[in-house]
Amino acid sequence: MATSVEMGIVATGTSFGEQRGVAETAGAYVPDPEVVGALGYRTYHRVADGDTATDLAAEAAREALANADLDIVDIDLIVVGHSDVPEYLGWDSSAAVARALGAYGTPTVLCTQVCAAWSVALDHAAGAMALSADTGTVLVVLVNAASEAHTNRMDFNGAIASDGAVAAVLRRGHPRLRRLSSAHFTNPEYADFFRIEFGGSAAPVPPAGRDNLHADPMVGIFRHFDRDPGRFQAFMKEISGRIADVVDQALSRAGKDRTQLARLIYLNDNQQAIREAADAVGLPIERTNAELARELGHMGAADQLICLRRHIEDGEVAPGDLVALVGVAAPGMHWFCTLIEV
Amino acid sequence: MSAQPHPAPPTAPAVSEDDIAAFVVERFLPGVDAAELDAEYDLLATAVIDSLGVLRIAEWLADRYRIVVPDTELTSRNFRSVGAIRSTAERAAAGEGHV
Repeated sequence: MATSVEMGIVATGTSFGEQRGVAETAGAYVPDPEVVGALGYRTYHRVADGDTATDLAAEAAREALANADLDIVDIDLIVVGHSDVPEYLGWDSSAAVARALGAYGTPTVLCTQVCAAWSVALDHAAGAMALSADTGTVLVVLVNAASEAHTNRMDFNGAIASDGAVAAVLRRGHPRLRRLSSAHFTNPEYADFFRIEFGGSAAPVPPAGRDNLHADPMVGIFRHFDRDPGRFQAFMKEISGRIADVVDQALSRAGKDRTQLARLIYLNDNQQAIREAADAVGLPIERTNAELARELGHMGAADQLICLRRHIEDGEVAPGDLVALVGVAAPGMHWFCTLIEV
Repeated sequence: MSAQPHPAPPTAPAVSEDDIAAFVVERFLPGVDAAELDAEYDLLATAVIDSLGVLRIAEWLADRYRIVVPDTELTSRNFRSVGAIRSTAERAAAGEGHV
């Protein structure tokens, strides 16, 4: 029995917040902007005050639909991945995006596994096509708009959080930008890492003198490893090792191997982290999204598909090239890879 | 009953910047002369130390001076220079909790 369907990306659309310089603005977020500068980012994007993740997502989706020469009524399923704090708790931003697009009756799904949401969203689209012959065209929308009330975008787990969205129209049997396979590994031992401490049902309100913006997530991670440098170092090695594992697993599922890999698109992490990911897979950093990451910042679940689009526009990948979209997501933690044949 | 004199409270060990610099150089800057490491040289912005480096320095402070830096003080900013490491260690030795 076939376990997957062939699907490809027909068209994409993007939208971004205002582009800002790191050097010019980091001092407004942190007391030591030179440390932020060492991460390697030049610019990032910040959504205008009053604009929302839903606005960004809908704008990207409209562009993708226009580029595909489709109307919203042509879409069989809308899958939204939202990687930061939503506008409201107990709310479904996939329905909000569908409403903004003028959809009515089209099923929507919301993927909330932070920076992993893009991979989950693509898998869900493929799964929906496999389950129902009526599902032939899917709109996947991935958005990140950092809530500056909850996190410091300049002190975001070694990255600079950035606001942007990407949308992709996927069609069964489309011969370009084909999703070949995916792989996903979760280590639930790290389920509490990098969580936003206050505002959920366990701790709705921070105790006196504490708040999310000043809660350093590394403190909890150090505690988890009993402050043992050896255990922490093993964790760092696990991050790289599992990147290689999911890439190899996805390649194997597609009947490919690493020698056929043209490019690695990792999350838009800091330069050192991208270099380590490239080393883990055995590709030079020049065949990654490292330069785009400097310009874009970390747009959560939107990173990989935005970079794929940019690499195509810039002529850095060509039809037939095999590209590994790869990410590590926390909380989770999750490692995941989706293989795309351009 | 005659009053016995109270024993003197234990004094916090003096933390030497030269000592810290020697450890930092040995561990993270091989080939550099410890005397050349300025106490305010930014170890974070120059990527000399990272999160793992913070743990290694905290472990060394515990071994060398019996100073346990509280979990909440294990932030990279508290270890960004030799001078910052000394201040962090002295606060911990004095039992002060927060930056």
